[in-house]
This record gives sequence, C-alpha cells and structure tokens, in this order.
Amino acid sequence: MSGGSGSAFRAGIGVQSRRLGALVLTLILTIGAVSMFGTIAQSDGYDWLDVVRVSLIAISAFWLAWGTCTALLGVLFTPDTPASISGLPQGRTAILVPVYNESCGPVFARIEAMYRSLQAEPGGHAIDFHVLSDSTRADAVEAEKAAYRAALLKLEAGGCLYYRHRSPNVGRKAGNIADFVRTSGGAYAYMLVLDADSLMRGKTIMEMVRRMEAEPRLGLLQSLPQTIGLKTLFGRMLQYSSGIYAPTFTRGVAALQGDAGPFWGHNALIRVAAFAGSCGMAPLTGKPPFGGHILSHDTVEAALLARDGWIVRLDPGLEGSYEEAPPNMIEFAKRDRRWCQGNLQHAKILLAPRFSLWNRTNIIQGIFSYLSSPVWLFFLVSSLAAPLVAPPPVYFDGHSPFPVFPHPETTTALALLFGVGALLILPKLTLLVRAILRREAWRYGGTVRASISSFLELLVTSMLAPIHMMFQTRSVMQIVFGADSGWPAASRDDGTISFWESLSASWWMSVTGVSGLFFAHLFAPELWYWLLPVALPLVIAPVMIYVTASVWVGNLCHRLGLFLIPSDVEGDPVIEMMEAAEEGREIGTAAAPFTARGVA
Amino acid sequence: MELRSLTSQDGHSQTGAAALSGETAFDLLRASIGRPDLDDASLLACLTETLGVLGLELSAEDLVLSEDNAQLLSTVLRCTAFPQPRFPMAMPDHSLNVSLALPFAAKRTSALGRIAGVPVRAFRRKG
Repeated sequence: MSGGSGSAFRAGIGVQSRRLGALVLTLILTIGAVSMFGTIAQSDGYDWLDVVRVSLIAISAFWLAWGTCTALLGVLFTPDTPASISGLPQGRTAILVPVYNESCGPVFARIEAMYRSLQAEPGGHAIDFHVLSDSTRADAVEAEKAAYRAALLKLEAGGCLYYRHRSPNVGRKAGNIADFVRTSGGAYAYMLVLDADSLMRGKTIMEMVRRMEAEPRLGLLQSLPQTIGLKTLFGRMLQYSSGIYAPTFTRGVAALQGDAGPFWGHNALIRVAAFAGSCGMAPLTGKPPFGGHILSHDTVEAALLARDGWIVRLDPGLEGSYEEAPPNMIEFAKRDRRWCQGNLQHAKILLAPRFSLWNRTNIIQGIFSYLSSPVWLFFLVSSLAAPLVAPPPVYFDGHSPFPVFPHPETTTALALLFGVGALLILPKLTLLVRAILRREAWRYGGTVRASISSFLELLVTSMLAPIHMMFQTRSVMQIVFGADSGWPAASRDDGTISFWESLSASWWMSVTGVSGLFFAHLFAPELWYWLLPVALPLVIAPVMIYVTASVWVGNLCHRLGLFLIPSDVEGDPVIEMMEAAEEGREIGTAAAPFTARGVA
Repeated sequence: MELRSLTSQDGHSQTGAAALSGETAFDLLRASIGRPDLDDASLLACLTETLGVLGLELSAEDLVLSEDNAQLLSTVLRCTAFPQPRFPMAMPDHSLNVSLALPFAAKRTSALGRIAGVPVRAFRRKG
C-alpha cells in the first residue's frame, strides 16, 4: 500500500471509529432517557398512549444526544492540516453569484469588496466573477444591469466581471448553476459558488483554490461561513452563536463526515468537471412539493459527487468566509419553510441508487431536523392527554389486605429533567469554556462579556425554541398536505418589523399557548407548571418576535459589548470595503485587471 | 487553462501591431483578451456599446484598426461588458427517481396468479 493510500485508509478507519463511537454514546444516552421516562410513565399503569410517548421521547432523545456527541467530537477532534500547493494555482476559477430579485446595492458592494480583495492577492487576477441572474421582475433586471455597468466602469473589470440574465429560470438556483456549466464551464477548472449575500476574503478564496489543486480527487471544498451584517437582537444572537459555537461544532461534523462531507449550497469551491459529470439532476416524478425540481440541491449534489468517488470536504478552519442571514424570526421561518420543503422532498431520493450509507444518513438527518419539531409537539400533546386515558390507580390488588400505593418517581423525573437540560446546555457550555481556556474569548468581547452573551443567548433561544417548533410544525404539515412554498425572494432589509406584523404572524401561537394552559389547568393540573416553559413563550410570541426584531435593542447590546463577533472586535478589510462600497465611499484606486494581464 | 495562457505579457505589443491590418487586428485582440470564442461582430458590438457608454465619438473599427488608439483601446476594453465565455461543458442529468413500481407490479401479478391458480404469464398484457 502506498503512503497516500495508507494515510487515506487510516483516515477512513478514523472516521468509521468516530461514527461508531458517536453512535454508541448516542444510543446509551437515548436508552438511559427512554428507560427513565418509561419508569415514570408506568407509575400509573401502562396504556397505549405511554407507548406513543416513549417512542416520541426515544426519537427526540436520540436527536438531542446525537447533536451533543457531534459537539463533543468537535472539542476532542483535531483535524489534519489540509494539503495546499505553494505556488500560484494553474486552473482558472469562476466566482458565481446567483441573484434572484435581490437588492442590487449590497450584492455589487460585496462583489466590489471581493474583487478588490482578490486583486491584492498573487494570482487573484486569474479569477472571474459571474453574476447569474434569475430575476423575474423587470425592474429588478434593469437595476441589475445598471449596477453591473456601474461596477464595470468603477472597477475597470472588463473581461473579469460578467453578467447574465436568463428566462425562464428553470430549476431555480441549481438550474442557474447548471446553465453556467453548460455554457461556460469548459473555460474554468473551478467555480466558487456563492449566494447573493456571501462575502469572502481574497486570501481565503486563493487558499481554497490552492487546496483544491493539491488534491486532484477533491471535488468540493466547503468553507464555514460566519454570519455577519445583522443589527437586530435576533440577528446579533445568531451571529454570536455562529461565531463562537459553529466552528467547533462544525469540526465535529467534519470529524464524522470525513470524505463524504456536506455542501451547504454556497461559499464552496467546486471542481467544474466533477460537478458537470456527477451533479446533473433530472426533476423528480410527480408534482411539488415532493416532485419536480429538487429544491435543496446542495445535499444531493454532495451525495452525487461522493457516489462517483470525489472527495467532498468541509474545512472549518478556513476563516474569512461570510454570509448574511434572516434578521428576525419571521424571515427565519420563511427561509425555514423553503428548506423544510427541500429536505422533506429528499425522502423521495433516499433509496436512489449508489448513494453511500453515510450520504443516506445525511439525508435522513436533514429530514429529521424538520420532523423533530412535530415529534416534540406531539410528545407534549400526548403527555397532556395521558392523564385522561390513564387507568385509575388500584390500591387493593387482591393479594394484600393493605392498600398498595403507586411508587413515587419524583427522583427519576428530576433526573430525566436535568439530563435533558444537560444535553441542551452542555454543548454550548463546553464550547464557551473551550473558547475561554484557549484564550479566544477576547474575540467575543472578553471572558465576562462572552459569558454574559452566552447566558443571554441560551435564555432567549430557549424561549424562542417553542415558537420555532410551532413554525416548523406548521411548515411540515403544509408540505405533507401538499402546499408548495414557491420561490420567494429573500428579504435582506434591516429586519425591523411592526408589532402588528409580529401579531399577525404569531397570534395562532398565543391561542395555542393559552389553550394548552387552560386544558392543563382543567384536566392535568399536575402538569401545569411543567407546561409553562413551553406555553408561556407561545403566549407572548408576538412580543418575543417583535422585541428580538428590534434594531434598537440589538444596537444597545452592541454598545454594551454583548454578542460581539470577531469581525466586530478585530475588523476585516473585506467587510470594511463592502461597507464602504455600499455607502458609496471611495476605497482607493481599483487595480486594473488588464494591467495585470499585460494589455495596458 | 487555455484562456489564461493566451493572455500573455506581450499582449500590448500584439494589440499595437494589430493596427496594421483588419483581420490580424481582431485575431490579436481576441488573443490579448483571451477570448477566442468571440467573433468579429460580437467584439465590435461590445466595443461600440462601451464607446457609447463612455461618450466617445469614435467607431469601434477605427478604435481597433488605428495604431494611435492603443492606449484608448486598453481603457475601453477595461470597461467593456463582454458576454460570458462560450466554452460549453456537457452536464448530463441523472435520474434519482426510485422505481418501486416494477417490483411491486411483478409481485402483485405473481400473487394474483397464485391466488387465481393460473400461470403468471396469463396476466401479462398482450401485444
């Protein structure tokens, strides 16, 4: 066995061992939770509803424990340093920026910042930008053309910056990328697929290209985008958690995935020939939401690359990769609705030929990330209903003249409560402690501020969790009953919403919360306090959504040094260039591409 | 890649030399900008549009053919919106539909045959 294949073999064994270890630990935790809950449930006698509840808690506990194991792996696992070439890359790279009825200013500001950042890098002039428009609104298309022309003149980027609009937009984003490959793919060795809100440092892009050139079997290299640019409280919390927790958690994901890594649809470098050969996807039979074009194409593309023997790798150590995100709960839920449909649609391809077991596991994970919400809700509902169908206690069983009282299971119930709490809190707590011990907390405002930020983030996200559960459950139900989400454009405003908007989006949650508490008060008074942590956030959902969507509160937290992220503390030239471009400030003289090419 | 290798360091002198004759001028211009896929008409259309945007009263042919315009040509090229490179790559569609119909149909026919006590082939469609 050669050295290369030997190390690949060892790496494969390592990945398999980590998967097995995580699975065993997850099963142990799940069995522990199920046996404790089973003990509690049988204290008043077993009935059919207890079987349902035990099944539901088994699924929920497995999901929760799997997440915890992934986070722990991220702490324990130290990835090898990826191979990279030392000189200039030989292959040409295209940066693809798909747009769909977007606001042009921010999109072209990001392109300008990345272009300038790349011009400062050796070999950066060998990279072209392609704005691939799928916009359907005539005004949006005209605005894109005008913004493109302005950027071209400002950057003097003729021959490096292209714009293409297509109509009809068959296959949405996947069809947009495929159209580029079929038209211009032969001119490029690699393509960096972005979203309209993506931003990357030139240095990071060049390093990704060098890593791709160093490994000819590498089909796709995914970076970990950090969330930036959000001003609301919700957005700042999202940024903070993505900054402090996501890198380590993603290391855990990478440790489990190995060479069959994920593709998140953007901020990833792809070998064009591999993509063209493996990733063309015919529409699924049937009508949407389960048939038609594959919506969440990224997971499927990663599986298709892997089944043809290409390496799909996640490198969480790559810094300088950014994206934006929905600034409030309502926009988050809208995006989640699309993703939910895309992931549930994957149920149709779960048995597609030649997918590896791990890729099928990934698909199941994607599906379950949305099914977990209805599972949790059904568990709560069945627990509320359980006292109604429970058999009456039998004090005289005929064997003894003395009454036999049910065995109290308070200790077991509390142990289960703390156990589930630990599974919820432990990953974040571990990652915070890790950041402090590794002296990385200063990047988040220092030990004290990072600790306060983490505590507040945990508190607020715990209160938002039931709201999230309700939105996701509604999405799943809509999809199961055949409603198609369509393809709404992403809103990328500052995220502020009026109280009326919040109320109209969440009044039904308040009604559900009040109904649940009322029902518990009447029929299961012993569960009333247990229900409160879920029902109360639902009752005040309109207020929660409204307050977390406040830019004022978000900025106040920022002034207090809370929810800071590394780009707030250290700054990043590419972000500063983007902000300057968006505000129309002069950044400096654009590097002339044709000077680099030797024409001028 | 091929496109980049055509963009040589002596592209400027090639463009300057191109001022001498029409056909050679366009060939060298294509080579210098690394766009062999663009024909003369497309190049002229792109340059004409850019000249209009820049407000320059000059024809695209004059810009390319006159050796006095080398500096201006490079400026115009830097501001030109070229069409995307035409280098098609085949991207076949793979079907991910899982065909469950055939095995189920076969079993159904077989089971029906057994129930009815007649050979399976009796249930196959003729024709």
